[in-house]
Amino acid sequence: MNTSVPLMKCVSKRPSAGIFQALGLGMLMIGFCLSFGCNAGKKSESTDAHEEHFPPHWPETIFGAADRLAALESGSAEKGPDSWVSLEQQWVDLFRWLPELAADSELSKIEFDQVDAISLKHGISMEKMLEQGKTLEQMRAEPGISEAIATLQQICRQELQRLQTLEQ
Amino acid sequence: MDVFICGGIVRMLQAFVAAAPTIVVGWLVAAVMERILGRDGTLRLFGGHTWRQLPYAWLLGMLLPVCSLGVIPIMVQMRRSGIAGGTILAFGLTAPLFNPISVLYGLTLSDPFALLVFCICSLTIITVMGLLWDWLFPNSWLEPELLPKTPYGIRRIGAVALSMCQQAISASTWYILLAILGVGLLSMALPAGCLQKAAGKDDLAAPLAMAGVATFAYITPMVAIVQVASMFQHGNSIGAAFTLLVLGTGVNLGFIAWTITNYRLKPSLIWLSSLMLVVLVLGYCVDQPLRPRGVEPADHTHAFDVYCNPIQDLSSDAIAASTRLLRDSWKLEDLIAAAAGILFVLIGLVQRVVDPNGKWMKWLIELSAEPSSEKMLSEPRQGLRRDIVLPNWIIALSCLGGLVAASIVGCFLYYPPRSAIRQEMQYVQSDLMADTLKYEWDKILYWVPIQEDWGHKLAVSAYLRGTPLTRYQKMKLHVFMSKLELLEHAAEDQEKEEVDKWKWEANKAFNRLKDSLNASK
Repeated sequence: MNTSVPLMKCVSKRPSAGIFQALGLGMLMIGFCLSFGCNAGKKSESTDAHEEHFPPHWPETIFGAADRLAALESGSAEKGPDSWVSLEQQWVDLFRWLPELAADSELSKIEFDQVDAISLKHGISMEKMLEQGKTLEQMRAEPGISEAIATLQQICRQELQRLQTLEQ
Repeated sequence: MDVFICGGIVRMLQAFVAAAPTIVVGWLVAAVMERILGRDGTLRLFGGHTWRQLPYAWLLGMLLPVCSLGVIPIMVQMRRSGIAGGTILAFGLTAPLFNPISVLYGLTLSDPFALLVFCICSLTIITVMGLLWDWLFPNSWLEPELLPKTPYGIRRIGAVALSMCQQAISASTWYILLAILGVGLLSMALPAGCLQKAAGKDDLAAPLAMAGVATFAYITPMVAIVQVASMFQHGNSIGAAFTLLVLGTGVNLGFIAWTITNYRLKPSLIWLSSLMLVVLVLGYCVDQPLRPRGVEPADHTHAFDVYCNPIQDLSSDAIAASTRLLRDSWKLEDLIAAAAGILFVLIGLVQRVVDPNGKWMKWLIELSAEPSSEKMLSEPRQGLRRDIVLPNWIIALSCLGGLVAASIVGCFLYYPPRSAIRQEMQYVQSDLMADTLKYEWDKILYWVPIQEDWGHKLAVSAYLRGTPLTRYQKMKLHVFMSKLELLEHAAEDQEKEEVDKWKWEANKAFNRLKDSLNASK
């Protein structure tokens, strides 16, 4: 009894037909993906990584975010010449970005938790209000917003003072 | 021209080496089915011709650590055991799709809810496609092949080993090679970086284009989950991510050829087109609801660079570039598995030449002339050694328990303790910083993905060991990974000023991450 399994003999009467048919299908599919997929730019094209990954209203630091939120709250903020993002959207985005910006700073865990709590509390509710088409005035009239921004500013002021003391 | 050919060869070799561990596992499982379970045992394992066959195909598919190449020898054995076509195809799609390690990894990369929806949708598709096949083409099973029973004892182990070598030179290997050829053809057809903008959030053609690419591509379950998560993180098309997961991991040129060879062209084409259609419809359906909120869509992604030609500089020395690419991408464990795979093929070939009539296997499985030998098939052997013949249900339960236990142990080995990961990250960070100071672009691009990988492992390891990262630590890790990505982009563009900026940012973020981890000790 020959128990070995010879090449190309075990499953089909004409296995090579399947292979050629699959190859034919393959060539068709390559044409398909070439026609759909290859209209993009080359990788070597130099691009500015910062512009690609950050929207124009990205505040860079937690201090910038606190200042911008305070300006938006007081109504003194302007949209900015290069920003296509509405003030409402900026307001919501800033609340959502707070934890990331806080983590990208020297804030202690306790201070981070405070900032994170502000983001969790107001970020989601602001986002819902944005989806409902509420205006910035209606959003900043939400209870607790002024206190949250004041707390944020206080945390930032303390941190700036600490950093200045360290520098001296 | 050299660049295209060398690029294709590089991708084929990379695919072979990456797949080697699971191909060897596929041969082992196929050999166990052939020599230990036998045809009737394999049929019973997959629930016979009852309603249980599809759920069993799911369960076994998810537990077995095989990819879309390693699954082919198993499908051959299933077919010879008389299992229905729908069950075989469902198993062939499920087995490469998920395994415990890749799912755990994926959970740290993207929204768990989205991943859960992806898993449920994928398994639904597979079930629907299995049922559809059995409905369209009933009785698509073969009569089980007659196989002599293998006697218990050391010779059975020898028979399994020899069967593995025979699997390595069987028809299934042609299909595996064809799948690898498909990877090469794809990378020859797609110039470097040409898919970077192929999966934009608002690109309606993205799932369609991804279906074309993914059908050819060979992706290991781990790579698939990383790419899908990367698409979530970068705000790419979710429909395209879903298409990539199902078609990229499950389907390849070898799988298609095997299906056509075994079930003829027309039924196979009907089934494959239906699969594509269902995947695309579901892909377009989940695209909007699962779109992550708050993710700023990047204008390009490098997730699909692995399907394109790896050599970016058309004027470079193609051979030197290929050698470097291969050296950088191969891991020791994969190379060991590839060497083992080649060894099995060589032994198989030697056996074919030296022993064309299969006397070796005949000797291993035939009963001896002793009067007691008939009892070897069913009774324990008496005497000093007192071999015990275990009932089949104990062996089956042990195998199943063993697979689950191996998966758990595998998870703990793959995700070492937090302290070990922290130390590894420290070493990698030092090397990365040294290379950024010298603007060694290739080395920077070599270290960044390794560091990112350790970052993901850190999160899984903490979760596995019952001490998940706090929100504070998670955010520190997130910031570090973001900076690493920006450093990677700057290195890709060879922008010295950008690299200078992001290397310090990344290092600062790394130190903060370390401090946050130390604080919790």
